[in-house]
Formats: sequence, structure tokens, C-alpha cells
Amino acid sequence: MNSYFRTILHSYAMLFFSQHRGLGALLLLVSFAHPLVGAAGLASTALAVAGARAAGFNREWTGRGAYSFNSLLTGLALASFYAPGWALAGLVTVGAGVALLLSVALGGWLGGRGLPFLSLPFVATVWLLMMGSAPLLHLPPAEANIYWLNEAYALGGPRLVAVAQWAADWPWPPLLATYLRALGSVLFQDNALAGLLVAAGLLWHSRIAFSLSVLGFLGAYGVLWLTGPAGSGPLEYNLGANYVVAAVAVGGVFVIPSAASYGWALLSVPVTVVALAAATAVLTKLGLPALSLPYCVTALLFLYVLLLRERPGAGLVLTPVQRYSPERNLYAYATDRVRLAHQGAVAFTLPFLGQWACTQGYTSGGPTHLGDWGQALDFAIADADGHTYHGAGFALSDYYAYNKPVLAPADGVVEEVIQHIEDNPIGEVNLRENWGNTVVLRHAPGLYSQLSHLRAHSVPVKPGDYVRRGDIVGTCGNSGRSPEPHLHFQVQATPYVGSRTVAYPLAYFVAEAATKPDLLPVLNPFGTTDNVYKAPGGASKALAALSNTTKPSAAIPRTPQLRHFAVPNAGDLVSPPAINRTLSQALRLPPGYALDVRNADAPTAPAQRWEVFTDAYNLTYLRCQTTGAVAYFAGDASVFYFTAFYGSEDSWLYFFYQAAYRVPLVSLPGQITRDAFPLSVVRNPALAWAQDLLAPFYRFLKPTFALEAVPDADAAWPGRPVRLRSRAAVGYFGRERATQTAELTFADGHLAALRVQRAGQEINLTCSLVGA
Amino acid sequence: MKLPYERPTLRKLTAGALNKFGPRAGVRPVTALDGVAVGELVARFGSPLFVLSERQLRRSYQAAVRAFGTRYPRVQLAWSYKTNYLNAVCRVFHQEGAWAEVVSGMELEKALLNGVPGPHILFNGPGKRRADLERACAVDAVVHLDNADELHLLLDVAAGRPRRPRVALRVNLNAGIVPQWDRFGFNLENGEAWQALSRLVASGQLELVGLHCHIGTYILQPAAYGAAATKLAALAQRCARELHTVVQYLDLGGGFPSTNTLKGAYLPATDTVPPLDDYAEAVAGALLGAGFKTDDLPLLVLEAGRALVDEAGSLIGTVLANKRLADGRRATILDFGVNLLFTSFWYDHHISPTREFSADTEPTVLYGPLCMNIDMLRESIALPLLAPGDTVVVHKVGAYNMSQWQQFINLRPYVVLIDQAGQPHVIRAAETLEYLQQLEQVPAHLLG
Repeated sequence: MNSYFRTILHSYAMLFFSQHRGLGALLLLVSFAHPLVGAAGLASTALAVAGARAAGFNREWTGRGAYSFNSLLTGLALASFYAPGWALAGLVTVGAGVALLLSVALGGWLGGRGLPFLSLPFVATVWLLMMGSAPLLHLPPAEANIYWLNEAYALGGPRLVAVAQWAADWPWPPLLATYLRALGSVLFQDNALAGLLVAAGLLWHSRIAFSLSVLGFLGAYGVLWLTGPAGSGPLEYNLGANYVVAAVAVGGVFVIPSAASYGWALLSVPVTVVALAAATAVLTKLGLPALSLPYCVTALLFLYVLLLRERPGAGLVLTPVQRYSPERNLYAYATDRVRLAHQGAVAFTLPFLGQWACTQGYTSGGPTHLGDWGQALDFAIADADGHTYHGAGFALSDYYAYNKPVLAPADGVVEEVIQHIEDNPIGEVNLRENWGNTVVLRHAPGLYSQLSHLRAHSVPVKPGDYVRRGDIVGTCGNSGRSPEPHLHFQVQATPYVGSRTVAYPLAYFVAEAATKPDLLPVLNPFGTTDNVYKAPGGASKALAALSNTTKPSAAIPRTPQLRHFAVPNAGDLVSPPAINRTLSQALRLPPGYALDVRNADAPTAPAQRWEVFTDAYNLTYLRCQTTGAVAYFAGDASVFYFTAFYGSEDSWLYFFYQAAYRVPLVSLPGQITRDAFPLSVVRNPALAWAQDLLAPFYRFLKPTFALEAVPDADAAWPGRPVRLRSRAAVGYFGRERATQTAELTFADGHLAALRVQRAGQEINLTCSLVGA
Repeated sequence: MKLPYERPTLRKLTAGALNKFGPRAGVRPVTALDGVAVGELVARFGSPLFVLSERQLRRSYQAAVRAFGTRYPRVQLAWSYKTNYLNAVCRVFHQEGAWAEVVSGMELEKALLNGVPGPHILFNGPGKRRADLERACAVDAVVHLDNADELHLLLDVAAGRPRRPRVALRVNLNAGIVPQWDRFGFNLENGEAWQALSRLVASGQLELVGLHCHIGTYILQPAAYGAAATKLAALAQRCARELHTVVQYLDLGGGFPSTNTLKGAYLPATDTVPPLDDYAEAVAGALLGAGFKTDDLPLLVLEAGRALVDEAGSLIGTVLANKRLADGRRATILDFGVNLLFTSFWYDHHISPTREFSADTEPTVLYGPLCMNIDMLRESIALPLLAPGDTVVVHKVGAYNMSQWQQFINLRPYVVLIDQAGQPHVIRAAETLEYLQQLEQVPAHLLG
């Protein structure tokens, strides 16, 4: 029942593309300024919601009121146009039904094209009923709009009349009055006071939407001022809403708000003006009102052309996931663009074990990775002195890298194997068989990886074999254009040996940035043999000499960093991360996994259950069964992170969302993991509102996340608890204020405890595995 | 310039056929250790003097990690305390990431004092006392069980503890090494080990986390480690299958040789000892081929001692006297003997002079300063014509000497560590008579 009333409020809020129930309630209230009109709207909505639920239409859309707001508009419109009576009641009932059916049908048709149906069902329904009811019902036109004070008197007595008159007589500046009446007309109210309440509600819901409504209105005012006497004609009353709503839709709801989207919204205004004039001219002859048709036409036009671009620009971005708030859309997009940039990419990992040095990176000016073949990586093993060999360095076996296992960087199928080429003696290169012994793997259609310079006859796989990430596909050798043993790794779009390269990041690896990047030996594949013969790894000698004279290398701390979706640079020392099994087991969270969460300070209180589900898009989320809050998460073998949160910000799940926003599943002592929250987590209203207004242009608030492991030797042992500390903070103008600090304890393969401190309160939660 | 005096020598001419490898068998002098002149070290710290190279300690450790870590994904070294438990040495290895492998209550305390967390201490050894086990449980160290009596003692100690003590089972097995070391742990082939594992898991009071074996010391056959790894892996899989207990680590012990030449060896060790890479290849190959799932590969623990530290240690000594023995051999008496160089019982240590000499050498017997017949360092070594007061450097003495040395007849000398910037640090001061006597008590009736 609760969800039924929530849906009704959502239907009202949907008039401004919102799920803000406060705005919904306010609009419901305002609609009752004409009690009869309000009642018809409410009844119509109630019928549509009940119908949508009974018929079993898409639950998500039903719950958001997406199927019922057109019925709401229909009810409001019919009651404004026709006098009360049984005939009107029947008409409203039919209208609610028709609007619902049209919403579902148009939703199915336009939804498949990535477009919203807006209020087209409402326009169509009202026209249909106006044309259809005229010969059948002979309804008298409503007089309430003219004599609405009578109604007010009947409802609230002389006092309400006095208030209404006072509001009507208030010397509103004419521009403001017109704006407010335009807003009010969305609810079929010709009343500045109603408009003021709607404007307040809109501001409460979204600062961006409010600023866009003002922009749309002023734009239209400007256009009409240029074309003729301002303040008259189409700007009057209900039709003024078309500019406002079109601007909000085009500039902030269906497009991520930005300076460009504001410009786009402003551009929509003259189009709406023309559309409105044209629609009015045509429809008057048919005796039909234009209603919101001009806005629908403009908005759909402006969205559809954006959808059809071949190169979506960075300025005008169509909202990827509709969060029903321009702010939330913007903030989520701004962080997701960075955080989720590589979702869905094939996760490549380092094709070897232990620590290797990247000796040639992407087009690093190195000797061989040039032009179309520039996006490739060379690896060799170097010791602390920078040498790649021990002893004299004249024999292949002196080289650390020689004969070391080479692994499949990702799951795939072996496409090609070449392993008959003999390894070169040190210092010589084989320019005829440039790539040497090579394995090419197919990971996805159009995505191949190539591993080259392998040791002769070292490849244990054959074409057609399926390999898993980490399987050995050969050993490092010195075949082809390779003067000393090293491994060449590249990603390519075609299956041939030596295809041109594609830049493709590695999903995760641990890197120690080279403190002196230019000092690591760059292999010289041009094979100036005399040079190499005299001093094998001539560069390494130089490095050794240098490091001998420098202070102890222990004094130059190289802190290993876990890196995600990055490409190693030449000189980096890289190694695969050591996965922490406790964390990786606790945060794997397969669908169906559930935790019972209790407040440790009130152990008798009922537990909240968090359960893992998968949605229609195969995205996983945690849902709190008690509060209905939902937290989407993602990750790979090396990291767990939340991607979005919907629901109450007082729920325990929200605390967990903030506490475990990003958790590396890797043991790296002293590592601090940082991330950025979407700006919607800021709760200080003054700051947040100021930021909201400026957000499309400049964001001065920086909500940050930091996490570190509590140093504990136990953490290295599977089955022993792992403790993490995290901190959420908001930074602005160089200051930083913590909003939440948390300590997470993972034990026995699940989250065991969560201690949260926020806003002066401390909450101790304990979790237990359901069904364990 | 006046040339230094060299005593005359008489030798029988035994020239063989000439060969292209030439006669350059001369002894190369070592004038400096890690850039610090030997003379300067002796002037500052006296003679004899143990010198450790921090640089070499780290290089050896990194080489071991590299050898195993680039072949197997999960490798952990545990520093074998008994090999050299000077705190500075231990701390260098711990800084590099080593855990601690200890074999007595004393070593356990030492490791804890060196800041090693309890869970990173592996407690080996055949002679653990009840108090040792209680302490190990209290600090959450891993106990490597050696025998059934110890298992029962630990079960007794474990009773009533809030968390189950973690244990690994020591296993001895036939890895092809003769004689087979069967004194440590439970035998695999006769079923004793499986019996102990069943008992251990069934008790429910102990948490089985590892399997351990130590096939011997100075093992020159890498394949033996492969065989041991295969057998341990099979045992681990049987634990998972039949006892539903996942073994988290396999500890293949130590025993990797250094490049010190064993007595009686025909060729120098630098030519005969397989590189550590061969051992790594054998072990990694065995474990990767054992049939574990990639995500379930056990941690490989190694308790290397000698291979990590031997090369980093040097001993500087001084010639006290030369004499000729009755049979005509030349003998040289040095200021250190088997009291400091315990390993000279096993090794023909490489010994260098510290200044230039002519190319002439003479077979010499090296004696220490002890008034004991056993105090012979080398039966025969070709050294240049050393004079009293000349210094020599004994190489690769880092393992065992600084823990097995004796305070016998003489006091123990300074030990210095040369850091990576070439700066010497005293890490153990020379003993004094006061230090020696501070534990002694003389009954009152003997005083005065």
C-alpha cells in the first residue's frame, strides 16, 4: 500500500522528471487550488497506477510513475476544460485508461529507440477525447476557471478568498508573474501563488532544473521581445510552460548538465517558439489546444539528433543512466566517466610471474616501438643494480629473463604458434624473422594479444587450445629481433603475427615507478654487435657505475602502487599483485549471497538483510531488504568497488557503500587507496546548493574516499581477519572535512563487522552470513 | 723504493706439459671489502674481525626471491635464524620481506624482539619445551610439529585457548638423497605422517596450515627438491580430499648450498654447485605440475640460510708466525682458529692475502691460535709468502660461524656491517673479560 502512495507522489514529481516525493506532494497540494481539478487529477492518477500495477507492466517504470503522469495531466486537463458532472467523471476514467495504454505503447515504441515518450500520450488522449466526446456527450465547458473564487469560498470560506485575492492582487513584477503563471500552468493553474509554490518545489528538487527553467523562460521572453510586443501572445498562461519544460528536458534531464547543455537548451527555445506558433495555428482550425505538443516535438528532436551523432562529443552527453535529478545525473556521470571507463574491457594482466622491468613502453621514443607498432611493451628482469644478467652476460642463461615462464595475459584461444626459430647469441639480432618465436591469442572478436621472442621449442600449447589467464604459453627467449632475452607483449585487432598494435591498458598490476627512468637499459634491437659484444648491456654497466656512487638505494624508497587500467611506463618495475584471499572471498558477492546485519549495541533488534541480486543488464547490486536501499557494485580479481547507490542515506547499507567504496583485494602494506565520490554525497545543504547551481560549469567541492589496511601480520593468512580503515571527506577551497570514518573487519570469508563514525554518532554493526 | 722482504722458499720442480690455460694460478689480493680498505678496518676494529656486507645480504636475498618468484606465483622466504642471528643481519632480511624460521625458544624471542610479528614466525626444531610451545601459541607463531610426543604436548597446551594454534607437519621423505634424513618429522613413506595428520585434524584443536620437509643440507641435486615438492604437493592434495583441510603452504626447508668448496671436493664449488635457479626450476615445475587450480596454488615457503648469508661474510685475520714442520711443510699461525671459523671443519675456505705479492706461492698448513691439535684451518693451501703481521681475508663465512663460534681460549672479536653507502657499523662489539665473567659467581669461601 505504501508503495502505491509513493507511486502516486512519483507520478506528480514526474511532471518535472523527478522522483522527489516532497516535490510530488507539493504539486499535489497546488493542484488542489482548484479542488475539482485537483481531485480529477488525483483520481486519474490513482486509476492509472492501479491499472498499471494490476496489468503487470514494467514494475520499475510503474513504480516511478512513468506510466501514470500522463493520466494525471489528462485528468487535470479534462477537469479544467469541462464542467463537473457524471459525464466528466466518466470521461476522466476513460482518459486515465487511454493515457495509460498510450504511455505503455509509446514507451515500448520510443523506448526501443532510446527516446522518452514525454507527455505525448497526454496530448493524444486529450485530443482524442475532445474530438470523440463532442458528438457523444455534449459536455458544457468548465466555468470554474472563470469563477474560481466561488470554489475557493466554498472550500475555505472568506479567509481563503482573502488570501487568494491578496496573492492575486500582489504587485508582482510582470516578468516574474508571467514566469510563475507559466510554471503554474503545468498543473493547469492560472495563478502566481500556485506558480510560486511550484517554483519553490522545483528549486527544492533541483537547482539545475530551476536555473534551466529560468533560462528557458528568459530565452523565450527575449525571442518574443525581438519579434514583437513582449508579454503577450504565446507567452501567456499555460503555453509558456512549453519553453520552461523543454529547456529543463533538453538542458538538464536527458543530457548531462554542462555549459554546452545550457547552450543547447537555449537553442531549443526559438524552435519551441516556432513549433508553438505553428501548432497553435494549425490546431485552432481543428478546435484543439496545442497543450504540451510543442515541447514534446522540440525535446524529441533535440534528443534524437544527439542520439544519431557518429562521434558523441564530450560537451553534450546523453544521460547514460537516468537518476531523475539533473544533479545526480551530472555527479554520477562526472565520477563514472573516470571510475567506470574500463567496465566491460577484457582484463589483461602481466604475462609473467614476479617482478620484471618494463624496458620499452608505448611510443616511449624507444628504438623499435614506432608508428603503427608503437603501442607495445617490452619486459626484462633487472636486479637492484639495473643489470639484466649475472656473471659475464655472454651466455643466454646469464640473463635473468631467459627461460622464465610466459603466461597468457587473459583467457583466450591460441590463434598461432611459431616456435622453430633458434635463439640468437647475445648481441645478435635476427632481422629476417623479426618477431621470433611467437604466440598469438584470441580473447574476443577483434582482440588479440601477441607474445614474442620466446625461447625455441618452449611453447606447450598449439593453435586451437583454450588457455586460461596465467597458463604457461612458453618461456622467455632471445629469438627474432632481440639482442638479449626479453619479452615483447602487444595487443592487436588482427590475428596475424606482427599486426599493428592497439593501445589497450592492463587491468591491474603493481608498479614501482622508476626513480631514474632513463637509467634502465633499453635493449638495442638494432644489434650494433660490436658494442654489445664488448660490454654486454652497455647501458647496464653505466647504471651500475652510477648506482655505486649514489647513496644507499634503501634511502630512495620506491613505494609499490597498485594500478588499474593503466599502461606501464618504460623503467617501471612491475609485478602481478598478491591477491588477499580473505578479502577476495568476502567481496566476491555472488547473486543469492546474503548477510544479516545487526546493531552490536542493540543485539535484540531485528537484523537487516543485505542480499545480492543481478539486474536485467547483468549488473550486480546489494539490496537492503529492510530499507529497500540498493547499492550497485562491480570489480575484478584485484578490486571491489561500488558504482551507485539508490535509497535512504540513513540506511546501514549507505554507510557500507561509503565505507567500502573502493577496496583493493590485494595485500600491499602501506598502500592508501583513493577515489572520488559523486558530489551527491555532500550533505551540507548550503554548500550543496551553491555547488548545484555552479555544477554544470565548475565543481569546487571534492568528496574524496581513502582506504588503508590496518597493519596486521595476520592479514597475510587466509582465514584470519583483515581490518581496513576508510575515510570519506569533502574538500573545498583547500580544506577537508571528514564526513565518515569507518573500520571494516573481514573474517571467515565475509564482512564481519563495520564500525562507522559519522556526524557525531558511532554505529557498530556486525554481520553474519545467511545460511552459514 | 725498497721492496718488501720475502722469505726464501725451496720447492721441487714439478713442471708438467705446457698448456694453453697458462700458469697464472697466482693468488689475487683483496685489498678492500665493499670499498673499505682492509687495513683501515683492522686499524679501527682490530684483528681478527668479521665483516658483513649489507649490499651482498640484500643482493643474495633478492636473487633468491627472483629465482623462485619469477617461476612460481606465491613465494615466501623465512630467514633461518640459526644460520646467523645477529640482529642486524636478521633485520636486513626482515626489511627485505623475510619471515623468521626459528628452532628454539631463545630464537623465537629474538625474532619477536626483531619486530617479526608472531604469525610470521615458523617454529621448527626437534626439541621444543612446553614453555616454548606456550609462548608460540601466545604470540600466534606457527609450530612445525616434529614428533608424536610433541603433538600430544601441543594438544595439551592448546586446550582451552581462544584460538586454535596453527601448526605445520614436518615430514621426512625419500627424495633420492642418501643417506635419507629421517630424524626430523614424521616419515611419509611408512604412513606415519598421514597418521599424524589424521590425528591432528581429528583433534579439532589445531589448525593445520602447512607441510614442511627438510631433505638435508648442502644438497647438490636440484631434482631432489623437485621430488620432495611433488610428494608434499600430493600429500597436501590428499589432505584437501580426505581431511577437507586446505594446506596453505608447503615449506621445502633449506639446505641450498653456497659456493664454498666442501672438503675433499675435486673441483671448486663455484664450478660444481648448481645455481639457485636450477632448484627453483625443479620446485616450481613440480608444484605447477602437481594439479592445483591456479587460484588454489599453495604458498611456497623456503628456509634458505646459507645461500643467503654465506657470501656476505668475510673474516679478516693476521699472521702471527711462520714455522716449518718436521716433514718440511710450511705452517702459518693465524690469530683466528676453529673457535671463530667453525665451518673450516667442512669447507676448504677461500683465503686471500690483502696486499700484492710476487707470483711465488708455497703450500702451507694454516693453524689457528688455539692450543689444541684440532685447530687447523687448512691442511694445505697455496698462499704467497706471508710474513708475520700480514693480514688475510677468509671469504664466504657468513653462515653458521657467527652463531656456532666458541668463546674458547680467546675472546670473540668485533663484527662490523658495511652498509650500502660503504660505511662500517659495529653490529657486535668485541667481547671483554668483564663480559665473559659477568655471569660468573665465586663462592664466598674462595674469595680473599
